[in-house]
Amino acid sequence: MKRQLYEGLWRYIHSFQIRVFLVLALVIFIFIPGTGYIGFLQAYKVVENQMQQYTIGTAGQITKRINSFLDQHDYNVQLIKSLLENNLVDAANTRELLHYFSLFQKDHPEFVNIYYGDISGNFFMVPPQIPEVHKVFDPRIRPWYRGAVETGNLHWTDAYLFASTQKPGITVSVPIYGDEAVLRGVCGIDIDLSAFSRFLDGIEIGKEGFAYIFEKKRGHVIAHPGIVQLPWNQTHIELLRYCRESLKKRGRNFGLISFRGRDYFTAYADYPGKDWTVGVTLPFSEYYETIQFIKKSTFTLVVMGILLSCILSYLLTRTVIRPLNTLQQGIDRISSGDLEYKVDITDPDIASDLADSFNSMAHSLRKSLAELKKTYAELAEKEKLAAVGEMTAGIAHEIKNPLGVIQGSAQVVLDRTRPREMRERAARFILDEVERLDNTLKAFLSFARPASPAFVEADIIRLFEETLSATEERYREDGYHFIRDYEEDILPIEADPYQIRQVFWNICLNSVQAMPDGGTISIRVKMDSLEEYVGGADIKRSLGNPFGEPRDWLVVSIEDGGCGIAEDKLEKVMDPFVSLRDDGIGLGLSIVAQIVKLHRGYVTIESEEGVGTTFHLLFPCILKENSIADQCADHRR
Amino acid sequence: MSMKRKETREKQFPAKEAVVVVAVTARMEKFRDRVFSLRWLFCSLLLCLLLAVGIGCHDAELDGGEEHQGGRVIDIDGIAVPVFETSAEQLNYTRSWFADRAEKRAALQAFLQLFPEKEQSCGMAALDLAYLELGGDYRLSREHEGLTAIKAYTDIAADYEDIPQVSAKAYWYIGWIYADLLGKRQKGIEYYRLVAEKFPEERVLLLLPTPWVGIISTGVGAMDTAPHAPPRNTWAALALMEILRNSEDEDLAWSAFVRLWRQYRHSSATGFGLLLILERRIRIDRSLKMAEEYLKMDTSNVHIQGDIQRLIDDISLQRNEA
Repeated sequence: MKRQLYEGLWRYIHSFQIRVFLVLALVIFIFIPGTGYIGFLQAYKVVENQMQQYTIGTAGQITKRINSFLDQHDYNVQLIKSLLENNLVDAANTRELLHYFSLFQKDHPEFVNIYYGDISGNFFMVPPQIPEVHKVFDPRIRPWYRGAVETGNLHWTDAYLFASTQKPGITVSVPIYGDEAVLRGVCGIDIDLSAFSRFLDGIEIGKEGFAYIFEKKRGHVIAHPGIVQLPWNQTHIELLRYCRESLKKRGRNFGLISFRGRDYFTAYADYPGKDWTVGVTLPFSEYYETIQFIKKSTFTLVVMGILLSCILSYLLTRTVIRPLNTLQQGIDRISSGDLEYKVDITDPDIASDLADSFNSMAHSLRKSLAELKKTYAELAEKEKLAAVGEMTAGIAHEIKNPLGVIQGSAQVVLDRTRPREMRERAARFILDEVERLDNTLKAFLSFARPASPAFVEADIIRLFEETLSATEERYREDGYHFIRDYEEDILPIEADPYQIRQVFWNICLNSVQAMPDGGTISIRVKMDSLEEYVGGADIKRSLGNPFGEPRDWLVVSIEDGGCGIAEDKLEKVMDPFVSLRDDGIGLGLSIVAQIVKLHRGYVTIESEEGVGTTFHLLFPCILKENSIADQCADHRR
Repeated sequence: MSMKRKETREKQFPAKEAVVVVAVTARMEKFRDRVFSLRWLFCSLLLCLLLAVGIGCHDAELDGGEEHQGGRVIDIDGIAVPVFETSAEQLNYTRSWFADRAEKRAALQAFLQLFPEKEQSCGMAALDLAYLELGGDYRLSREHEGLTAIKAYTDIAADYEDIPQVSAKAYWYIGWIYADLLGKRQKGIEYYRLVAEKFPEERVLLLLPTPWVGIISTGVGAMDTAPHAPPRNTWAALALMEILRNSEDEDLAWSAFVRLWRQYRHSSATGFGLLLILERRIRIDRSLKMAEEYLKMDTSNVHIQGDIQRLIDDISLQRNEA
């Protein structure tokens, strides 16, 4: 069952249509997506490199801009220093200082505080400190003051968070010297680094990208687009932390980092002269859109390519296969005998040519068949005439001798000079020969005009037993033994019981005559296949058994231990008027062969000279109804 | 032998199973023929196309936009003030930098509306609100602004009498406005004395620790705080220092300093008070002894010590000259 199923599947898969389609589809499905995927990978690599260049370049540009921003404050604080040192603004005059500092702050909104502290601990600031702080405030202990005094020049503090504004800032301070380079005090400006954040907020780094500055050591965010104004937007803080940790682990300043299901490019650039890092982070998906476009385009092209290729391959297979199918139908019709059938194919041209050739061939076949029929009829007529001649010769031979004996005996009977006993014996010769002639003529008539068999469902074993029952006792007295070997469940056959009995009788008589001194005759009845006894080429299809193959056959084998038949005579032993005995007329086995043929059966002979002869009679069994139905169904399929 | 072969054949190819196999094979061939019919082929291709479009749409959905992050605001006199989750955050917001004082005022009023149950914080906010009455720079404030502020502080002192941190600051500010801005020193001293008597231990609270976002995770939380020195002065020490500064009466000044010396010796106000008493040469002998003792103290401000030392040297020089 499974094997049949596999065979069916195998046949299905290996059908030309499926193979052509599968091969084309396989090529399409591998080649087109493969090309698209390689293109996608290349685009991905290019975009990655571009992003690297872009982010690092952006970080560098930001560093330059911030440097330029801070340089402006260098200039501003140096300007205040010059004014104070040159006494253009009187540091001791608080009203003048207030006026000047206020104007200065108006021009520079990024200046959170402008202040001046002298060496006596006096402190003046715009805007003013809250009084509880101002009352006990000593500028000389502040980092900006000490830094400026220690360096003797411009001093930048670390970034810190202004207590007054809660924003990150940085202080630039410069010492103010009097005559003879005596320190008079320190002037400082608190710069709100929100300006950095505003600047970074104004930079467009894609749609979602952003830049930021943080302290390398402590990690405090100095500038970030989200801290321009309170409340701070801390959406990206977790991302920035994760980016920093990841890059630190990798020991790199640039990398692609996955965070909460999204990929981000991050690049860091050290800020020269300060413990700061400028970072640029932007989601990969933004640039991925470019790749997505390529991907989608490729995908669309792939889909369209596949669809187009499928349609083309379909049309191709259809164009190739359909004419072949039509041609196959034509072959089937012609094989079944319909030589008038014509194949009609118009496209493609090669198939059309093939169809024309096929129709031409069928036309030739029709002509050949007609000629063959004519020749066959002529041949049959000639064979018939030859057979009649041969038969006439045989009859003449069989009649001639008895007639000679009758003629001689009749002369003796009419010759009154002969003794009475001689004349009576001659008269008996005449009667014997007449009887012999009668038998010969009966046999001849039986052969020449065989009666049409009256088929009935017959049990072959019963017919055989009926045949033997009349003579077995007599033969047993003469030293003959019949051994039976019958299989069980023997199927019935369609047969004429009279003719079958005649067949059995003729063969048994032949076996008895082959053993004049008695012997054993073995009879075996069984079911078997036809091929065991008859070669494939000899199997002829009959009306009731169009296939031959699946039908059961009943085999009757009759074996004797007689003198056997010489090999050269074995082929002719079934011909009429061929007898191996002197007294035989040679029609017994011919009648057997004729009757068996009328029963759609076969007769085969196995013989070895001096050992014995075996006759195999093969009859088709009657098919059961369901089997017939199955066969018919198979045939229809 | 032939019988055996026959049985074998029967096992290999029984009639019913043979029918099934033939039927399956025939169905497969029928299926193939159907697949290769135009209708079925186009249906299959259409299905593939729909599948591809579906995948494309799904992919597009994955590329969806970011979430919009909005926040709640409260409207105060036409100014939108963001609303924070906690009172601490809201108070911090009020203390951040505003370009316009109206915005700061709105932020403080919003706090008072949003967190009335946080009395101490409300008091602080009210104090800041009152401070705004002095204008952008108190050094440029006019008299009526000072008086308005005094009224506001007086109300706060009354409203938050049970919260010493608030009322002490309110009284100190009233004294400061009187003495420093309105020039009414005596009136100011009265309030300073009130502070010194009523709130001897109340510390001056500067701004609360301010959050600073950092990208190095400290393990404590998302926020870091700006480093600020813990409050070391008390309102009483500052008040005594101001009495000392504003009093023309040497006895009053001396008594204020003595109290400052005795009770708040480690306060920075004491150093400034000592400088004032030395500059005014009040009870010079006792002052010098105290100054010498102060110089032996371990203080954070060496510059004050240097100033005191210079004054001691000047006084010694003057005495020698005399």
